[in-house]
Amino acid sequence: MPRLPGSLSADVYDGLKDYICSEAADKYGVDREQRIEKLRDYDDALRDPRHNNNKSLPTLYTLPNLLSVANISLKDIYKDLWGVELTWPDEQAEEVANIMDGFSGNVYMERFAENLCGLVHTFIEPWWEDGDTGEGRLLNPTERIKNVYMKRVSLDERPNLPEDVQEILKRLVLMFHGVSHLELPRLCEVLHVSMHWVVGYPPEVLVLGKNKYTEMFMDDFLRLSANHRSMFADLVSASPDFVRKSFLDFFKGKEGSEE
Amino acid sequence: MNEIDNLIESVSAKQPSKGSVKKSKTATVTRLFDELSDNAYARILDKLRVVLENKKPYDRENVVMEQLGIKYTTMYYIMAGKRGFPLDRLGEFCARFAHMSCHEIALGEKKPVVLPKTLSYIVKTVMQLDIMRGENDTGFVSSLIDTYKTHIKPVASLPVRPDLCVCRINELADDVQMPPKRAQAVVWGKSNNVALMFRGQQKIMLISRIEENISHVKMTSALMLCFVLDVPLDYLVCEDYTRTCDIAYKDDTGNIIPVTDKDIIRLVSIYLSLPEDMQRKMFTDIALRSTLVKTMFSLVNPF
Repeated sequence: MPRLPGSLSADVYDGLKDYICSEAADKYGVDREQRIEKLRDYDDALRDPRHNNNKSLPTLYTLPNLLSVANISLKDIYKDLWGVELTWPDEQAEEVANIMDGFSGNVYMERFAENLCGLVHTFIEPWWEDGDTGEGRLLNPTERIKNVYMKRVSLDERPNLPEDVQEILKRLVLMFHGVSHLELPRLCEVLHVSMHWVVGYPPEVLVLGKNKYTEMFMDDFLRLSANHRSMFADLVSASPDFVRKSFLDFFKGKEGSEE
Repeated sequence: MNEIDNLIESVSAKQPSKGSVKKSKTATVTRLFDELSDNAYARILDKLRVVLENKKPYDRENVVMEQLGIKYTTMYYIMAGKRGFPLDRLGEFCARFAHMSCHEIALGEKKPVVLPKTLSYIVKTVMQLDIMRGENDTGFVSSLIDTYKTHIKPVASLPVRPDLCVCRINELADDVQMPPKRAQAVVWGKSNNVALMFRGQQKIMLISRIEENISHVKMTSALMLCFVLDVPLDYLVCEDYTRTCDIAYKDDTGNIIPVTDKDIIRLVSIYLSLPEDMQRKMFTDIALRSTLVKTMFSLVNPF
């Protein structure tokens, strides 16, 4: 079956369906027929109208929804789809994520983590969010790639990109084609963006983080410049001890006042 | 900016009618900045002469040269109008002798430095935290000043760090989330142009001929940077720009609010004079304190 631009290949889709129908159904004990039917509905509803001539193929944009319907984590299926393990982009990010994972267990820790997420978000420029809100945030990897290319790669730099990537980007920008899932890893590597972000997972979908604050924090952290990243890495590293100490002080103070 | 408008008009009037449009536009811009640069050097020289005239005869030039670290021969050429005032000494000259900002002396207008994101955050947060102090409390700002003033680099003002201009460009690049590696590549790229993308505008702004070492940067280039990046000259040539220039920050709605509190200006000055690791430590201290206060507040007032 020919693969259309912006769509998953038939093989990957078949694999995905098998996966959903077998493991997920077993794992979560959900009615198999009902799940397939729901999947089909979603698939039809979210199909990109530009490539509507072959109804058996889902587009890349439907993938987050497919997985969320099937209750499958991206992490589980990531390697099958892209051929690489899903990991944090570097050691620093992994370290920060591990510390953020620790901010759970009580409301005090969680509120602290939530406020840290608010702080890091104030450092993010609004241009990241241009055309990237609502449904678009979930469903539009092509727009994200175009956004990064148009706004982060200067005219001087564009001729220095590898030729194959230049070709793809020219096609995306000039001919309004969708991005293919096979091209995504290469594009993300060259443009220095996380594939996880490009595919468009919202922070509520836990992928690598163990709690939602990790995902929220990392979603912004990975967009920061290197200098700001190390600044926030220092902040996060210093946080656990500080929180523990202040937590104890807080309750000591409360006990004292009650006495 | 009337002076610049006048200059554009005067330069355009001298423009020859022949030649391609593109070439003539480029020539106009270059000539405009050349003239601005000549004017700036002339103003600085005038100010230098006034300063020297007010000194006693026996320390007329020696004190100035010694304090600015300018050699006798260099001073001779500057006074004779044969070379421009070195940009790496301009901040010190303005702070110690001229008592006005570099931007004002060079372009005749006052313009505050709008603080970069990290410093804006520090100023805003510290102001909020300082409001909450008790009656007998010395205040958060004072305690920060006391903690960090001992860590100031021994030589903070002179000579300025050679890569100051590049650091400032990178700082602006950081704020708009352009990777420093990429900003560096753009600054020192083959075309030797500085290009910075600014959010929402989707346009590339170019300035030519920026040297890596600030002592080699020409006034023309520095002024171009000022216009393109929309920063005062002090931001590019002074390590501690609070000594010469007013500072301001952007609030959440994008309005520019001037900073007038002397303690906070002192704190910003200390921050700018700290080594990088201590700057990060100060940011961490303030951010942790602020996050803690917010956490406490949300726990006490859940709704």
